[in-house]
Amino acid sequence: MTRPAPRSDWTVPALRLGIVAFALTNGIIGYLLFRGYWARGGVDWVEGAAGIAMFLGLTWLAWGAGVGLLGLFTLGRRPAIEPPPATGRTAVLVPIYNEDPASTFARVAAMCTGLDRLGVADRFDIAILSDTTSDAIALEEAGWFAQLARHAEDGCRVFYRRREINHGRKAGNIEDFITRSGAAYDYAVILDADSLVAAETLVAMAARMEASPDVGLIQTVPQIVSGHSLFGRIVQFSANYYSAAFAAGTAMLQGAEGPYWGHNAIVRMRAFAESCGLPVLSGKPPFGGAILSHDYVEAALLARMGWRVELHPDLGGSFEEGPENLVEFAKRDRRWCQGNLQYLRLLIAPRLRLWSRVVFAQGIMSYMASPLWFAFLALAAIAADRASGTFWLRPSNTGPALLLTAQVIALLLLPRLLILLRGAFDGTNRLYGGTGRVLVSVVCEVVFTTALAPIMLMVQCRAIWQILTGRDGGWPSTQRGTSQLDSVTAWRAVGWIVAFAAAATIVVIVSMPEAVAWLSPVLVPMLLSPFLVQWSSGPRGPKWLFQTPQERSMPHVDQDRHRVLDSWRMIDKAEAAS
Amino acid sequence: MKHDTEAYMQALSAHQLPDAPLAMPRQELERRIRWPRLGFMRVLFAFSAR
Repeated sequence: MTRPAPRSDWTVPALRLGIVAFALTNGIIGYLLFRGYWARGGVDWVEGAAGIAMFLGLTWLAWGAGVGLLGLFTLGRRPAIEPPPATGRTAVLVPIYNEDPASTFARVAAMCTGLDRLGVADRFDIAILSDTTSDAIALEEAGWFAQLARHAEDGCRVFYRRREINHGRKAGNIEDFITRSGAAYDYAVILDADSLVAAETLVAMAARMEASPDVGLIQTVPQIVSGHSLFGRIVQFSANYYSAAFAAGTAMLQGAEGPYWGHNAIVRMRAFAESCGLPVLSGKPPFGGAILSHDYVEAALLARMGWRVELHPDLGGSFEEGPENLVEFAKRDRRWCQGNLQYLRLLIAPRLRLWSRVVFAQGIMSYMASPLWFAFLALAAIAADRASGTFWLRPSNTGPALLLTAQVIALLLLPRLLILLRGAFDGTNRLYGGTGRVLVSVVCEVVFTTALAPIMLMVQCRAIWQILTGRDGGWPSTQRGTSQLDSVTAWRAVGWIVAFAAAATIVVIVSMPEAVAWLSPVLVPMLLSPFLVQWSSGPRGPKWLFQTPQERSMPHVDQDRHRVLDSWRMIDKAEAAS
Repeated sequence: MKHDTEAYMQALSAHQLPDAPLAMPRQELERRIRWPRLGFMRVLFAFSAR
């Protein structure tokens, strides 16, 4: 397939240089302030190592903040003049893996209804690609598919296929479709089982693809919906409220080299087929075998073949569901962590674009940041013990200490604060219930995520330890919709963190009692982790707190989904009674 | 759900994927690093002998 000549654009390289400079400058300033904190003649190896961990951690923190700030300045810059609807055919792919078939197929039915309403159902086929391993769930799938087929009788065509052997997991599932049926389509919209995309968005995605023959993939920014628990609603609020700025920043920075997040995206079928046949990595899992975090790799491969991979944050109507409690979140995180650490092997893959390698490094750092902060805390505590009394605040080092604290807080909070301010002026806050409510929600979100941070740090450190010692996390299915955890499950999940924190607290009290207050923001949440995990897994707080635009006014496609699911449940009940 | 396996199979067989294969060639992602093993070992021995 012939590829068009690449477009030249100097903005993207300039922005990339800018963000690298911003992150490194912050890391260096943090390191210098940290050195100034000791205010002694020299730095020994423990203090030096703590300083390096601080430099790397701060650089990473500044990178994230920089993307958000960049997004704030570029938000809303892209006036969308939609091209005419595509004439090419699009397959909407729904890979499923031991999911609840009724709710998954109801989403498909809602998308069918929307496409039918727009009169474009003949341009879109929907293929449910089952990798379900449970025979009982497979039988349920067949039953609910019969309902779906009746629903879509006069609309778009729906297909169902189940693989007996799940070669290559989700990426292998998509590949199996392409090698069997790919030539029948020009484009493929790749979804997850919990994805829901408005018909208008599906049409716009295909139209944009057809209008730009050099684009191989367009990624939308999925908004999280259907959160019920406190944990789920906080994740939903923060993802929705902050994502516009961060996505705009990412789009500017990535340019034509990504990102692809594995779902709620459209690909050019032939470009994807010729570029994205994933190899099985040599050696055993966790570092060898199938590529787990396949999305970044596929984006890199498309870019390697000269195709543009673009993020279009202005495309609305793209939704997904999020984890409802920390246990489900950690399960997903374990899988992503293993996949992202595989990038260590792909950093030097042949002929990749430099930025694709940077994106791989970003993927690795998103998990390696946790052991870095852990190392910093441990080394700083050891250094304090060795310095016996000279470590803590004195008149000579109060300045650097306060500046360093201010720097960390600014990097964490400044993007949030500016998004809040911007929202007050451009009217975005009204969609979330008004600036007052948003302010309370943001403050509560900051408190909650601060409490959760040490727990997630421990969870990620353990995941990395397991992976580095050769333990494969497998492919556990996602328990969607399940929320409230009992105390046994919570203790089983994070009891080890309590044991670790209790031992660390005893050591700190015995050997350096003056450090207890300093380390309490880290140790207290760890000691309370089972209660936090269990408490946040239930519905808590008033409805106006953490409210999102989708909660205030349900999108049409979600209304359709609810309507379909209700009617199917009624039919099911009636059939069961007869 | 009340199961009617025969009806399900009929529904499924009427909704099989279209037969339109498209090749998806394997991409090369692993770089073979040829370590200069012998030379490296020599340098190591020379260094340790000093």
